[in-house]
Amino acid sequence: MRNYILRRLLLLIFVLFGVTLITFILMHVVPGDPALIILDKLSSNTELLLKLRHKLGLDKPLIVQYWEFLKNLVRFNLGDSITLHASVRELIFERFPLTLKLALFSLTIALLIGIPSGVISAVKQYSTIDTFFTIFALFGVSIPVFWLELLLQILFALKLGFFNVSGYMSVKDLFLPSLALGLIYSASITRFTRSSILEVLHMDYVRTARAKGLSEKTVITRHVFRNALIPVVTLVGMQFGGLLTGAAITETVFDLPGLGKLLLDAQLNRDYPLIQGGIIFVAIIFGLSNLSVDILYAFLDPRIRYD
Amino acid sequence: MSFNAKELVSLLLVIGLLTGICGFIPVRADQEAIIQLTVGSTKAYVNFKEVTLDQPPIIENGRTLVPFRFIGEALGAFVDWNPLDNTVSYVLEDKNIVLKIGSTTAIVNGKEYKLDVPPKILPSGRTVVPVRFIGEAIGAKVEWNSKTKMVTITYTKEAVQFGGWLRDRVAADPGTFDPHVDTSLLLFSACKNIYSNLVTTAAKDYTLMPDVAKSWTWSNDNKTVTFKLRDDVFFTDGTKLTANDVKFTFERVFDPNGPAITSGVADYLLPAKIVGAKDKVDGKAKEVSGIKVIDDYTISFTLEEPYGPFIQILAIPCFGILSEKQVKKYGEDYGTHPLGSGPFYIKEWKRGSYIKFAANTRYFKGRPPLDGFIWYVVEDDNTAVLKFENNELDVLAPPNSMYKDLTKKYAANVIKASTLSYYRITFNMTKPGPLQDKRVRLAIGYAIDRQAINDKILQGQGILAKGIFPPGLPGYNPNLPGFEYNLEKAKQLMKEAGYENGFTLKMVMRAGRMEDEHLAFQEALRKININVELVKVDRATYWQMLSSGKTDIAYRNWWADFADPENFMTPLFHTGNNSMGACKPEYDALMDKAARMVDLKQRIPIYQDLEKKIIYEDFWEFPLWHMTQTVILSPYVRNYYLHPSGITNYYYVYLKH
Repeated sequence: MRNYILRRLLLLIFVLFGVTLITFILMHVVPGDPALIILDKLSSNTELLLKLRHKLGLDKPLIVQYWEFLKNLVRFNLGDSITLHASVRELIFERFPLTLKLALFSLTIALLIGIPSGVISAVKQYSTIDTFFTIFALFGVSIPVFWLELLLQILFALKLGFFNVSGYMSVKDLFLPSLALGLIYSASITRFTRSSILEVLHMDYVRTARAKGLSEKTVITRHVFRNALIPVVTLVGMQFGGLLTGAAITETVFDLPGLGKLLLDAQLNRDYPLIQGGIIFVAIIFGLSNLSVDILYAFLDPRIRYD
Repeated sequence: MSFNAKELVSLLLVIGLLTGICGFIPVRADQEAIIQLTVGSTKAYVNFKEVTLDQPPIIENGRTLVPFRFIGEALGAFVDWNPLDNTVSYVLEDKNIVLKIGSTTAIVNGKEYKLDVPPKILPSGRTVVPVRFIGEAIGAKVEWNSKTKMVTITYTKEAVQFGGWLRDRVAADPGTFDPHVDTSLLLFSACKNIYSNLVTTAAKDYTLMPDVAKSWTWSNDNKTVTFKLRDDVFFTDGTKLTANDVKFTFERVFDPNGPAITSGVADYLLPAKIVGAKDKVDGKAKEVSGIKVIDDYTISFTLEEPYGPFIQILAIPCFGILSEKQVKKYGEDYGTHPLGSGPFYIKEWKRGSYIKFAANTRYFKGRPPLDGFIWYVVEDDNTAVLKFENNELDVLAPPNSMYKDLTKKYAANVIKASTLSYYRITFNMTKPGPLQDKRVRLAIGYAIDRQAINDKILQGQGILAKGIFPPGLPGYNPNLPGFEYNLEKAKQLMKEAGYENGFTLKMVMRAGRMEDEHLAFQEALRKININVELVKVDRATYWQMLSSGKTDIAYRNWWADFADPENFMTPLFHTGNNSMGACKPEYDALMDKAARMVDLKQRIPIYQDLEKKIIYEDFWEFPLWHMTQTVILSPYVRNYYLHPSGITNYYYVYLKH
């Protein structure tokens, strides 16, 4: 197991290198120039523009820029953001805790809704409640998240006055965004859990368990549930990675200074160091989250070994 | 001496009251405004001080009509005239009064009232309104002395109240509070409230006012200006502001390794040619020899040649006076550890979320009435509207799509003001093709129905432009002929130019910004067979395409940094500043010459002449409109002035409890 983890971590380094290369190429293929953004209405002043480009090091050949970036990277120096006037590392670590909290809360809500409704749907297949959960999941998958968020804002903040519309002053302000994301993410968890349990229910060992005379409850909790969880864990692992990086819309609607919004703005402003640093951070998070999922498999199903 | 508990408490309270640490104390003894006017006489009195009117009160149908603007300004109201729908308005404390010229219907806080005599514009250009109605609408006492024909208006002003926090919105976080880092309106607004400048502008317009400098004098050759500084200005850490800090601030602007040199901040001052500034920029000198500290509270600036707008430029918020000690202490991190001597200081900053500006109780002009104000970073307009409706914000700039509904719903609390802005269609003159033909450019102008776009899309917030300079700017020329919408003429011009069958033009636009206007232009030009291909891109690509001339036409705007026609000329039309290529050496020479003249009155004819040539002879650009600004306030917000620069000075604001 230890060797396996080490091997995976080593692999991650190569993945990161690839990520930096692809990001760098993509970043510079897309038109746009951070110097123009900074100067905004003064951007027609050519002399000023050249001076600023020189200061930002944008006048150097791309290959030199990339080499310097890599040199700094191995020293764990991600450089300074061009538009936010702070170090990239500082910005990322300033924003990450909020995003982590949001992801954990959302996923908790998603699991609390998704797993039970998935199990019930499967066990009571084709019943009214199954139909209800199916329709619920359909909505969850197809509703745009910003629209659901707007509805929640109008209902819980404007009409009922329970929460603020947006902003982040205390943990309470995370409730509405977590609920919105939780509802959306629970939909696919419900569907995954349902189909996975249905699949397991038709396995021979389930029939054996029933034949042994075990109660239906014991069959479901002891034999079906644990085996059915593996695909669900895969999904949740991916969702978690996505939530840590891709909640930009939710963060915008609720004015949460999180990682997703930081990276989206970085992209819109062509803040090259921040884009690079952000993407590397995201790649590490994804890599680690995938690794954790793989390790979790071994615990869920002792037959899975990595040696 | 010993005190018992009761005595101690009362003693503390008295001390508290005397030193002003207990909040909510009404101040200002002069709470009454008494205005006296005599029918037919230009002599009037405001609080028994004599003033001269350019329009005396008149009597019509037995009703006394008084000059609208004069009364409003004497009362301290926010007075506005909207030439588009011919209305005049007051915002005074919690009253909002709108009168329409020639109409007997008035609107007070959103409700309609009938007048006996309609307001009218007299040949003097002044609007007069029935005094009785105005008095009643604002709740003032109006007395009439039939013997002396004198009208006395007595208005008891609300006392300015101390305390409370105002909640405002910004769409992004400035990221820094170092005034040299960029020239965005956002950073300007923050700096305006944190720092003091040598000179500043008035609350509602660009009138120059003393700030840290209590006075200034020019030498006879108009090259050296000497500022006398106040000796009671402190930074919020308690250190005194002296002439050395001023010198340090301006030398930092020209520091070749400093932030100002690449942000555009230095570019405001470089044309002024301060002696030695160039050497400092080129790294040849450590100091700027033209900036001399004479003593702790006297400093002089020497220019190579006279430069007209110099003092005005010093009032731009990016020239707030920095503390030498603080900047040296924090170096590159100064932007997150700002120190100023202005009415507020940064108390708390959660990047990307909110900024708390607290009152500087030792501010040299007296502490601000507010305990402070908060800027919430709210990117999305819809969220901002919801927040305002949920009472999480006190100030809302209504987005165009909801403008009508919101201004109607909160009619009593809407304030509007003009700006020094200029919106126009620019033509790319660097590329060969149909746009090289002036007739084609003119045809495009005639084909665009500006009034319709202003009514339907901008909700009437624009003032149709006749030229470059907006009304309110010195040099504004009301006598320009202007442009009309004339489709027939446009078609005729296209035919004459040989493009009857049209062609295709590329027009770049930013996603999510002013999209409706772009669509309207596209629609309008289709009628003269010009196919406008809209290229919708993000901000970064937009600026790149504009600056590299990769668009044929563009819808652009310019907001002034200071109230001088120079600020509309050199940045837009001087060689080296216009990426669309429209410039002429002889115009450059005229601009340079005008900037060297000190007397604005002499410079104005040069600028007006240039304006006429650029717009009416060369037709390099098609002027569209000058924008007005609107905000909706919570009902208890007072003195929130909209400045034409778009920068809010929170020093005057107070909350009615």
